[in-house]
Amino acid sequence: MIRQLRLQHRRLFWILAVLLPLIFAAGIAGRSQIKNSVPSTFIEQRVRLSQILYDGASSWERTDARWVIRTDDATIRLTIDVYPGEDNVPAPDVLMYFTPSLESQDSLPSDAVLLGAMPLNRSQQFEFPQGVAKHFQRHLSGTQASSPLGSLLLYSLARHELLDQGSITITFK
Amino acid sequence: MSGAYQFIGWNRQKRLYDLYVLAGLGLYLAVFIIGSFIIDRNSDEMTVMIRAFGTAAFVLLHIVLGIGPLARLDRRYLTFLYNRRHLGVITFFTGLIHALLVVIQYHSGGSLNPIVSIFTTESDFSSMANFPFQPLGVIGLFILFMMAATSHDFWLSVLSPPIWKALHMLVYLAYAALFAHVMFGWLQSESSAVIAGMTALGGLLIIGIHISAGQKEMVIDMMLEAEPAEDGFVIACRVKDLEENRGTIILAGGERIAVFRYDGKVSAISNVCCHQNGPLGEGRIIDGLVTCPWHGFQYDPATGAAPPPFEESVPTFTVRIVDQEIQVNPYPNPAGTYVPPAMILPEEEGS
Repeated sequence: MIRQLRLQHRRLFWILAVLLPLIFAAGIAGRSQIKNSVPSTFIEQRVRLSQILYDGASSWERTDARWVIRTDDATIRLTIDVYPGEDNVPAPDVLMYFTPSLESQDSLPSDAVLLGAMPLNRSQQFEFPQGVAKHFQRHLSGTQASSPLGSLLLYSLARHELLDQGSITITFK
Repeated sequence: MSGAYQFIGWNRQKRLYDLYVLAGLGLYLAVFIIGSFIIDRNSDEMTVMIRAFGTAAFVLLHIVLGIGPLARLDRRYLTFLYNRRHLGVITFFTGLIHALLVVIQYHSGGSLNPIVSIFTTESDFSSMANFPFQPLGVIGLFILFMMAATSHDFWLSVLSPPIWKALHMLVYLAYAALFAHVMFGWLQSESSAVIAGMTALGGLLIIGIHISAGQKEMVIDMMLEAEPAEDGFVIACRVKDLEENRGTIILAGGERIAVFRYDGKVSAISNVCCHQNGPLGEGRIIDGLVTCPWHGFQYDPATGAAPPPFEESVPTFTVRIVDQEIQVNPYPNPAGTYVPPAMILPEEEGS
């Protein structure tokens, strides 16, 4: 019996010797998909843009976080600085998206653009993707005194659930 | 080895063993948690706890899987084999705490049943980033639970050794599932090359030492193959080559046989302990009984039966001494059958 068991054991480990490297290779190869999914406009270095376009101190419906959208007259560069509050975000691993729509959403709209991961205990700056920045610029060049620009969405990837929505409306002086 | 059911047969060695394991586990958790906050003071407490218990369970599983082949490669590791089942149970409970923390953190806040949530959160088999890695963890944990729940000798007796052994060989499936759980889960969001390297190293070590131990056993089998003698007997060794109260192992009839010398006599029994398949031939005669080197199970060398009130027994083999050579009939007698020991005459003792 013992030699039969040893034979089974040996065969099992030769199978594992093939299987585990395959799992490892597949897992490592899959990690590049994560890296590519982060917007190329994500910036590590904080940039200083002087003009505050919008201060979303109380725009969230359920989340205690403030955000500030900044721009610079000379460029069409737009950044968003997020300052999480005491109560933080209502779920782990929350992602922040932008959508041009102002309508209340039940799920993540197809035109939503990923800005990055919502910070937990520290402020973080994101740069809007070029397409979104141009969308802003079109509104900025208008003559309306108050212009709705879109919404920021907080989405839980773990729960597949839209957690919160905050609209962006810029008032021109 | 128990005459009556006993929840855990504690003794000093087992207590010490468990104490060292728990102290080591506590130290690992403390270093991991404190280290995580030193590296990133903004780390989320719950996430750090999940990772601490998850990695601890994975490291413990490597140790559990490594002890067996290491003991085959080097007898000094036999000490760790002694109470391996307690280590396995501690591994299960560490993994269970990891799973419970995951359920609390990621699956308990929504309207979906947490169990359903675990199995439906990721559902894209074509993408490693969204591969359903959590069910793989559940499979691994379920197998570890089955092993922990049946780890008591009571279940070994109820299920019979072949079924019990087959059930416990599922640990390799659990390992493969948990390896994939780590690769498709944590390592998808963890970009550190150190973590990936350590995971790869763990897999290589486990495969490497198991295959090495298997190869060594094959070589030993070839070396132990006994030469045939007359009347269907095989030659085990010369009398003078066998130490008093010690055994030697031969391979005959496709199985290993343990031959012991004691009190001027020679007996032969199966080399396989009916407790955990331990190598009886590597044990010693203590108090006139063959004592398994793994867990101390004992057998009468002449009958192959454990002393009362215990009921275990192993097959015996007919043995004789011809021209100072110990010869064994490779056909086993039913377990527990008395076989008269071969008496060593003074002129056969050699020097």
